[in-house]
Amino acid sequence: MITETEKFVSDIFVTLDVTKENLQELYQDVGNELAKKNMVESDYGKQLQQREEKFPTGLVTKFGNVAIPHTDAKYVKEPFVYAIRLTDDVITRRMDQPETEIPVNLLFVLGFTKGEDQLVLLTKMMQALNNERISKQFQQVDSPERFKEVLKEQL
Amino acid sequence: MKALKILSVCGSGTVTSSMVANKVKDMLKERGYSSTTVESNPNGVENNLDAGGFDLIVFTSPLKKKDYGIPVINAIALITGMGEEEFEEELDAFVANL
Repeated sequence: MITETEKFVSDIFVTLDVTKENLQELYQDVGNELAKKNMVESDYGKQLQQREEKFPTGLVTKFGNVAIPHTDAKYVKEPFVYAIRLTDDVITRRMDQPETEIPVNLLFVLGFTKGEDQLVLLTKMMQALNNERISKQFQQVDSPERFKEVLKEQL
Repeated sequence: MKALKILSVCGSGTVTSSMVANKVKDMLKERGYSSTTVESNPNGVENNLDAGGFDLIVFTSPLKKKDYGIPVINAIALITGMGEEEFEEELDAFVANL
């Protein structure tokens, strides 16, 4: 059955309460895992990391800081969202003011492919993050399965 | 009245800038102006501007600091939802100067 979600993302991945010293390591892990699942090209992790260095994606929202790392569609085979909640904050930089460092513990790696649907994915993702109840759930739910359900309902 | 021409800039020049471009287009429409938008990454700004006729630049990833001869507004509020009123005030100031 085709659900609404499957129009915008092929799959949603969630990793909760991991500890990372820095984001480079995290992007490499995400890239490796997704490449194994044939969702991205083999060098996706490296591309994501390089892209974040040049154009960071930290956002300050009403309900907390988040990052939405993403890179060129040419490295993405299937559209996805990969959510990560870290045990401790790591430092990233603001998208609109890269000279400003911000702590984040919540990241949504957005696997954009080409096409109009990707705009809908970003719009829905930001609507979810601007919803106080949903934002709280992203911080509080205690299982990846539940987190995925909450996210899927929003996309 | 001619349509306003807006350059919308983000890191990739695709998704985030498209979301901003659509919102700015709607906001200008509410103010009685039609507009067309072009999306770009920061490196493509000068090339795009060379095509001419642009009235405004909005961005979510910063551009090189220089005088582009047209107003430049930070539009991150249209992504994060934080500071949307301030953005609309800046847009009002731009419209008032047309």
